[in-house]
Amino acid sequence: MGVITMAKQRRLEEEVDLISLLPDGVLGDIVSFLPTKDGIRTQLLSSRWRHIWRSSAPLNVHLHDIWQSTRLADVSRALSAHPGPGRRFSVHIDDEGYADAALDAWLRSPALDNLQELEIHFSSRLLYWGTQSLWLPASVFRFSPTLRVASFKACVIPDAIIIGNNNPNYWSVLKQLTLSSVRISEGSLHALLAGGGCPVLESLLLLDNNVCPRYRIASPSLRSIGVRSRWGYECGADGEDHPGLLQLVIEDAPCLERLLLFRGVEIDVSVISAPRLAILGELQGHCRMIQFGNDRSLQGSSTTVGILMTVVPGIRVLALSYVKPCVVINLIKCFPNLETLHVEITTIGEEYASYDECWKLTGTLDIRLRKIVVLKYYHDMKSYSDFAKFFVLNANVLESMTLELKFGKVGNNEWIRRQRELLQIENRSSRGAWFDFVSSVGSSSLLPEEQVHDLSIHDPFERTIHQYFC
Amino acid sequence: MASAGSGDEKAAAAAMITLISSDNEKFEVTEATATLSQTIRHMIEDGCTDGGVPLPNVTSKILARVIEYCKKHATAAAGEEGSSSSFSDAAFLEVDRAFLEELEEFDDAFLEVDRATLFDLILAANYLDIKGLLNLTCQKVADSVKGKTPEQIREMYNIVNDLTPEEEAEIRRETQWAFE
Repeated sequence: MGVITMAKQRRLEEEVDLISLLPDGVLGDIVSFLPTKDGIRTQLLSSRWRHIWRSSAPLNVHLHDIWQSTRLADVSRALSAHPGPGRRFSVHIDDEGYADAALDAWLRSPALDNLQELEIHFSSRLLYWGTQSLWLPASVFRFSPTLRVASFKACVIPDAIIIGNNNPNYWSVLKQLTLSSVRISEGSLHALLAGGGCPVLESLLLLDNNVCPRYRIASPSLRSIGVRSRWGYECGADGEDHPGLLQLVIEDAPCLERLLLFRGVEIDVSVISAPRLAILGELQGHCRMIQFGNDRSLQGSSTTVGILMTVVPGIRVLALSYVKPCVVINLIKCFPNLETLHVEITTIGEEYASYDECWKLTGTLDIRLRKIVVLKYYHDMKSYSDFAKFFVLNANVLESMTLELKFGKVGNNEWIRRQRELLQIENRSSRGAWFDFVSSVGSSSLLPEEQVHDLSIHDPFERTIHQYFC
Repeated sequence: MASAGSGDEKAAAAAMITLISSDNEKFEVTEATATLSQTIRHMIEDGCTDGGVPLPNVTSKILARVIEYCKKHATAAAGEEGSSSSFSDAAFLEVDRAFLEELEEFDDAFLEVDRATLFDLILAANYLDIKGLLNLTCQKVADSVKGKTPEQIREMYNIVNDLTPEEEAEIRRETQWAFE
C-alpha cells in the first residue's frame, strides 16, 4: 500500500508546476544561466515568469556572429531592457556597421553593473581592413570589483587607458585574462600586470599579439602563462610594419608554475625569476633561445636549448619538439628533477658520432624520469629505437613509457614482440615500468590554448583518451 | 575530545554543530562542513548555535543530502588550501587532480534525483545560502530548458500559460528579436 501511495505522490508531483513555486531570486538565477535569447523568451511562459528576466536575473548577454546591423541593435536592446546587474557579457562582432562609440555605451549600461565575465571579440577582418579604430574604452575597468574572467580579441588596448590611468586599480579580482590578436604595447602590458592593478590574476593567455617585439612579465600572482607568436608582419599604430613577438621575458613571477609555448613563430624566452616554475614547453630544438636566471655573462650569447647549461631544479614536466637526441640528454642534466617528458625527436642532420657521445653517458646519468611519452615515434628507424632504448636501459625509476607512432597503427602481437625486443625491454632498468605503443593520431598540436586557464590539470601536455580514440 | 589530539588546531577542526531538521531529526556535523552554508556561518559568528540549529524549512531527507554535499566539498576546500602551499610536491598535484575529477563525478551523481527532490535541494541551498550547491542545481534546471520553445518548457514543467492573448502578443512584440 505504502509503495502505491509513494508512486501516486510522485505522479502528483510530476503534474504540479513545482518550478513556478521557486522564489523570484532563484528563478532569476536559473534564467541567468541561460544564453540571452533563451532568457528573454522565458518572459512568455506565464505571468509568473513575465518579470523574472527583467527584474531579477543578473544579465547574461551572449550574442555571437554579429554581422547584420540588426544584431548590433539587439545588444543595445537587450541592455536597455534590463536594469542589471550582469553576470556575463559576450559579444563577437564582425559588422561593418559597428561604430566605435557603441562599445563604450554598452559597457556603461547599468545592465552590466557587477559584471563577472567579459568577452569582446572582433573579427580579424575588421581589425585589418575595417575603418573603425576598435579601441577598448576605459570603461572596461569599471568592473574592477567583480570581473573574474576577461577575453579580448582583435582590438586595440590604447596606452592612454592604462599608462595614462592615474588610479591603476584595473581589475582587482580578475583571475583569467586572454589577449588574442590584441594590439597592446610592451609598457601597457607590463603596467597592467606589475603595477598591482591585477593583484590576483592567475592565468594569462597571449595569442598572436603581434605589434610588439617583446613582452616583459612581472606579476605577483600569475600561476600560468601561455604564449603564441604568429607569422607575418603587422602594421602598428605608428604606421610601421612590425615583425611580431620575438621575445618573452619573465622578469619576476614568484607564483608562476606553468610556462606554455604554443607552436607558431619561435620566440626567445628568458626566465629571470620564476622560482616555482614546474611545467615548461613546448621547447623547440632549432632556433629558439632560452635562458634562466640573471646571468649577465649569458646575455647576448645564443643559448639554444641544445647548449643550455643552467640547472633548473624546479622543472618537473617538460615538452620538447624537433630536438636531437643529444639535446634531450643535455636538457635532462639541466632539469635534474624532471618527472614527465613529452618528446618528439628529429634525426635530420644527426651525426652518429655525436649520438655515440650520448651513449657514453650510459650509467653516469641519474635520470629521475617517471613518465616518458615519445611522440611521432618512427619505429622503423634505428635512431628512434636507439633513443627510446637509452631510457629503457637508464631510467631507474621509470613508471611508464608511451610510444606514439609517427605513421600507421600498432601491429599484431608478433609486431609488438619485435618492437619490445628492439628496445631491450627485457633488460629494462626499472623493473616496474610498463611500455605502451599507440597508433598515430592525426593532430600534432599537443595542447589546446585554453588549457592555460585550467590549473586543475596536472600535466597539460598529456593527451586525453579522447584524443587517442576519436 | 582529549583523544582527538592536543593541538588547538585539532580541537578547532573537531568542533561539532548540531543541525535539526523540520521533522526534528538531529545531524552532527563538523564546523567546516556546516560553514559552507553562509546562513549557518553567520549564526556561529553570532554565537547562536548552542543547543543545535533548527532548520524548519528543511526536511531530514533533504538535509541529509545537503550535508552529504557539504562534507564532500568541505574536504575539497581543505585540499585546495593544502596544495597551494606545497606545490613543489608533485604527489600533491596528482592527488589534487584525482580529487577534482572525483568531485565532478560526485556532483554529477548527486544531481541524479527526481524533479521534486531537485527543487527541494534548490530551496534548501537558497535558504541555507550554499552558493556552490545553488549554482549546481540551478545550472541543471537551466540546461534542461536551454534551446527549447516556451511551449516545450511549459509542457515539461507543467507551467500553465495564464497570459491573456493581448499580453502574450505584447510580450511577443517586445521580444520578437529573441525568436529570430
